[in-house]
Amino acid sequence: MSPLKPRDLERTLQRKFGFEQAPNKSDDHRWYKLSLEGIPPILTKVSRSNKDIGSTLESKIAHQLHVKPPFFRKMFSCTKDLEAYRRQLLTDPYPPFESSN
Amino acid sequence: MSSSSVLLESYDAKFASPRFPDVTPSQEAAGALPVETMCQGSSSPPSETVVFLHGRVHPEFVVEQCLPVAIDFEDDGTCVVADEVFGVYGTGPSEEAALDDYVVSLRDYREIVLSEERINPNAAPLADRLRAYLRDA
Repeated sequence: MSPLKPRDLERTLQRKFGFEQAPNKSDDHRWYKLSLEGIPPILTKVSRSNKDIGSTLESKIAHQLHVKPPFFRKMFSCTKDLEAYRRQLLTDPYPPFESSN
Repeated sequence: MSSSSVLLESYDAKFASPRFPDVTPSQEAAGALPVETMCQGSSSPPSETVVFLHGRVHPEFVVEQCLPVAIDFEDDGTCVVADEVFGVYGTGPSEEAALDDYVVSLRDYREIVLSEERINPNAAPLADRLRAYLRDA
């Protein structure tokens, strides 16, 4: 998978997974949240920069989404949809909500 | 970075800046504010440096429990810092810039979670955990 751009990440989070923009004060980034029944809110930050998202940053964003990087990549290469993501969060979130939240 | 432990001496200027007028290097030396750090016992990969934030790192809040923050770099040199408790991250061309971005992100994260708690009961455990680490300045 080629490196993600922040704007592609934002578009997919919103259109495919139903994330909504959360209000924040910073001009440098935006926060998105996803509320699913029985799961703590998922919050992730996306930079307003145009730079490609590198592998280190990708792993941090995957962490915020509570999935491992390989699953994260599948979310953005079209093989994992919202239902698959919801199932993943319910059955095998990484990191687990107990330890990260 | 090869070292897995670091003192944040290079950030003294940041925390003594006009943004933190009540913080002075001597206060830091006395251990009063705001950041002292070591990464003993860290579970992070050896390529990462871990620092611990503590004290008044932002005008609006104080870190009450040491917050471990891992510092890493992309191949292009971009610094990426992220805490190991909430998963908040910051980026920048230098460690100091990335930590600045991190602290701003932590402020935003805190506001969003505490606001979310009012409308979403699933956010309560996260908000409780946040309150255990951060309090109003």
